[in-house]
Amino acid sequence: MTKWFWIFAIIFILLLILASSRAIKKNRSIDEYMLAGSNIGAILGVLTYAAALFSAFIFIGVPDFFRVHGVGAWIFLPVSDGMMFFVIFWFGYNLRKKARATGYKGMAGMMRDIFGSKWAGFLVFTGAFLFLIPYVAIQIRGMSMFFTAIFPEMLPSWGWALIIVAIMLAYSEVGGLKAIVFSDAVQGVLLLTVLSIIGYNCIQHFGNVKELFNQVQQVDERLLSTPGPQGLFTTQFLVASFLAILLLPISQPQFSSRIVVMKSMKETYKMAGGVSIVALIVFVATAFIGMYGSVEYTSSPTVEFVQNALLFDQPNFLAGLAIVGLFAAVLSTSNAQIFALGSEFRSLLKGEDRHVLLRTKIALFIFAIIVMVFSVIISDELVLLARVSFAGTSMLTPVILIGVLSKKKPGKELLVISAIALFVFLFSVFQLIPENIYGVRVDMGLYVILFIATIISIVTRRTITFNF
Amino acid sequence: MKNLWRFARLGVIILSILIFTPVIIPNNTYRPEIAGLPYTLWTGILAYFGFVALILTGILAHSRIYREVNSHD
Repeated sequence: MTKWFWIFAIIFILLLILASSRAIKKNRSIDEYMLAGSNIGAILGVLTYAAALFSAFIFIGVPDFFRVHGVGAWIFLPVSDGMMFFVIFWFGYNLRKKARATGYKGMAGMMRDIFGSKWAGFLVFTGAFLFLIPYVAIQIRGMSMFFTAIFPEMLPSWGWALIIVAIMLAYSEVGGLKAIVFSDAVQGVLLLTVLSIIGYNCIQHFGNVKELFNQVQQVDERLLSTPGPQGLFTTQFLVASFLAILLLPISQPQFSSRIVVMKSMKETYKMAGGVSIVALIVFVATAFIGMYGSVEYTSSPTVEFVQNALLFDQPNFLAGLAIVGLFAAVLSTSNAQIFALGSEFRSLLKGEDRHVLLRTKIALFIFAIIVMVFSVIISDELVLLARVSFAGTSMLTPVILIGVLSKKKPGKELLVISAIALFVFLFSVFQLIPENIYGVRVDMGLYVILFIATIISIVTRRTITFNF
Repeated sequence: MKNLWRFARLGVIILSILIFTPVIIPNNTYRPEIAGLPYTLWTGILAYFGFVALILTGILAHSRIYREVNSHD
């Protein structure tokens, strides 16, 4: 396995160098560096969106979620993502129209201009910063745990984290968004290939799908339905997760920026349709890997399950490819998120391009250091922490969605209610207020309040003629 | 085309509501199974296919209705 790992690792690094050399041009403008010249075609679009979406969270977290909580995980993630792909093209159409009219540099800058208030830009950037940094750190944490378990003698966990942060930083500082998109394409292909084969092998281990689920039933019948053995998948949890996930293209800048940088709306349509099909293959594979784990590694810790199911139970060449695939997944998703934060920061800056670019690169460096520190101290609950990130940024939806859809300047009360919701949610994450109030989850309650407040704002100010 | 776009939008809203009802997630029930898949999994996969079909329908209708705006893109 180690031999195959090094072979595939060398091929992967050569592909990265090739990709970045294609992306680097002399005298690149800041827009070419930050927005890839807004010239991304459908196939690259599908792969870069999928790579930004599917990360260590998909490799490690989702199979483990199926293993521990059962088939309800299908409603938690794939079904929510199914609806999200609809939002990609509907919101994408409106976002691209607005971006063309306002000269998009980043969502924070665009909201500052639309609302006519620096606080709007500051709020969008703060939300992204508060909830993307832990999300990037989770990816790196997941990967370093995994590598430490496979190569216990080689490096401590923080050593692996340092390597990936260093590569991530070098790659984004030098290559810009175009290089990241190319590396995403490599990762997207790797992810699809590796997970499909491992998923297939997991079914073959039992002979067929029916036998696999017969065995799961014997282990714990509750894995075959909701709310699952630990009672996690309550309707309220699933609805709140659904809302947080379907709002991702609106609320998280690494997704909205990928919509804006597509070459045309026609390519954006193809991208939305393409990602929905790629995602199906990935999710089916993760479901079978998870169910395999329910039988074979019923009460093992996450790391033991993942390293056995993805590596030691697979042929050596596939295990080698899986390690590189995981590394690539973490690299591309972390890059996408850190770079998106850099873009948001840049969109708030004014001045000469040269100075703005320099300050953005310094900011990227600082973000990477913060991520590194977080990745060492953060918890191991990959999926639940990712969900916190999705839910946290979704509190900014009223500001961004109404900002994009409105024909007139939107009311500043949207900034106030989103800011309050953001901090109330943050307090609930840190358990400064209870997670459930009178039986209602805080995030669910906040969605209802935000929805009502947004409707009141739209109706009283008549800011929107809905296209929907 | 406008009716098709209306159908796609209405479809995603109805499907989004349906997935949180006992039609898709009946508590502690995994029968009837299809091809060995427990109830919530096969209905969930069907729901996903439903979303994909509605996305493709929506894209078809939306791209025709807003062709003029898109042509400036």
